[in-house]
Amino acid sequence: MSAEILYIIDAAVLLMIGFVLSVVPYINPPFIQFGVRLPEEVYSNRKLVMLRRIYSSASIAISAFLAAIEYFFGSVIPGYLSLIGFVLIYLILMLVIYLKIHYTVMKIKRTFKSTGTPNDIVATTLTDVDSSVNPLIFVLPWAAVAIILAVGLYLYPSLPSTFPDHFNAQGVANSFESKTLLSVLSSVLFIGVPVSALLDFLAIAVLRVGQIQDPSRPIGSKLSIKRFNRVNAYLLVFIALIVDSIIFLTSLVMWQIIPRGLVLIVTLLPALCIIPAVMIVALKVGQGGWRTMARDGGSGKIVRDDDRLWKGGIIYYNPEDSSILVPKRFGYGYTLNMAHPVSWLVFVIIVLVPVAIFVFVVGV
Amino acid sequence: MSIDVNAKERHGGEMKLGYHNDVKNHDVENAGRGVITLDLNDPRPLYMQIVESILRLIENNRMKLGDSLPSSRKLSGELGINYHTVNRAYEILIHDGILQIDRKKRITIARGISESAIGRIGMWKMKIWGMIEEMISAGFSKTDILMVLSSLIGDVAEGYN
Repeated sequence: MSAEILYIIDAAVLLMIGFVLSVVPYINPPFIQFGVRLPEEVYSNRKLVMLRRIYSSASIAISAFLAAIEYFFGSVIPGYLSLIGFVLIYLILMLVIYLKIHYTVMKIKRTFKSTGTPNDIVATTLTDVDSSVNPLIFVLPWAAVAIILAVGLYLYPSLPSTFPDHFNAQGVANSFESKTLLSVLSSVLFIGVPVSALLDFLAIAVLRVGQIQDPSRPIGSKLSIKRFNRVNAYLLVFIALIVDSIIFLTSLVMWQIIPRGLVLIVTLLPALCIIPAVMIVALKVGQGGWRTMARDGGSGKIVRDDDRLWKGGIIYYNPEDSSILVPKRFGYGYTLNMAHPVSWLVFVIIVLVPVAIFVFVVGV
Repeated sequence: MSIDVNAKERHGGEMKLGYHNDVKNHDVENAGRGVITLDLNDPRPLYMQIVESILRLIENNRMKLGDSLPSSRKLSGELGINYHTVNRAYEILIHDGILQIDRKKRITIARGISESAIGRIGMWKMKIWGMIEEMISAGFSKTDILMVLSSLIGDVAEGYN
């Protein structure tokens, strides 16, 4: 394997991110477009159709451009930072485009808001909607962790006294460690266990989300958000299992069961399953589950005009709301209510953990 | 066995399935029993609106004795409001005996509306609340309002007789 392959992979990753972002405008409900709550009939407005196309094609075009640079000039861009740097540049550019479109849609909305005073109705149904999942799914990641631990312990006596614990992309070991229980099982203990715990925790948190997306259809909204939560809980467990399988396969490489040359394939292949899975689910259920929503007599016009609670259509700030997690407005998934103190704690942890890992990895 | 004669009137007609037809009809119908709607721009406090909504649902037979309500955290999460607001509404209704908390901490409907003080007086209080608030904001004094009311009572009673 040559360095060329690395550039191809980097370029492919960039293209894939571009492809993922290109479908976002079509995942979001017709009554919330680019973070703006709209009367549903505006969805097929010529300008809005155009804006969705602009966002989609821009996301692909820019990622293709950056991918080309990475592919042709990868050798002159300094080291391993190139992909992270490119992704960052790409996401910032897409954010700027998003914000530009967001404020354009706000303008379009003003021209459509002709009748009556601004409404602010919230509604839900008091009847419980079942959002439970099979509790066994939360055990699955731990079962995977247990299997990896068991295999590691079983193989332990037969492992050589020193073994490689880091490989470059060519599959050549560039760091070695002496055999201890901790070093042999380090990836499962330090990545597998926290990731399983985190994703289980997220799945449980996600199941409790309930904010109604369209108060003109309280019943349909409640059913759809519950379905959305359930699907995402399964998705999170699926991701945990993928992470566990990557750990298992890389451990097998480390334990010299799988040839070193395959290290890139065994890490990339499972990881590549995640994006299509999320995309298929996102396109099927839609953000907040709106694609599965029943029209329970809703008029389709805006009864809740809560744009002021969403800064730029991305950041939710509502001191009146006790919820911590709410469905996102633009994109797929959930976001934090930044008016809730716990959200800041979560936010700090989300920022600190990768920084800590980065510092740890670079330091070591 | 009982036949629910009001079923059609309750949630018939208006339930149309949209977007995708993979929603089971009975899901929608079951969930359609008690819809609670709050107007955030209404001058009446939100907890009063919740109390009123629940009373109206019981009055209209959409919620029956023994039906359970979501926890205040759950309900506030769905409505995007503070859970203390929902709690306050529940406390009023529990205090009046319309709701009760059972062993499993579930909140259920304990009594019909006609048997409770809020049921008898509260519904009317709440209906009048909004009007009085409008009168106050229009600059009427307490005595003005009382005068208007008492003269109206006279007129209405006369007409009624």
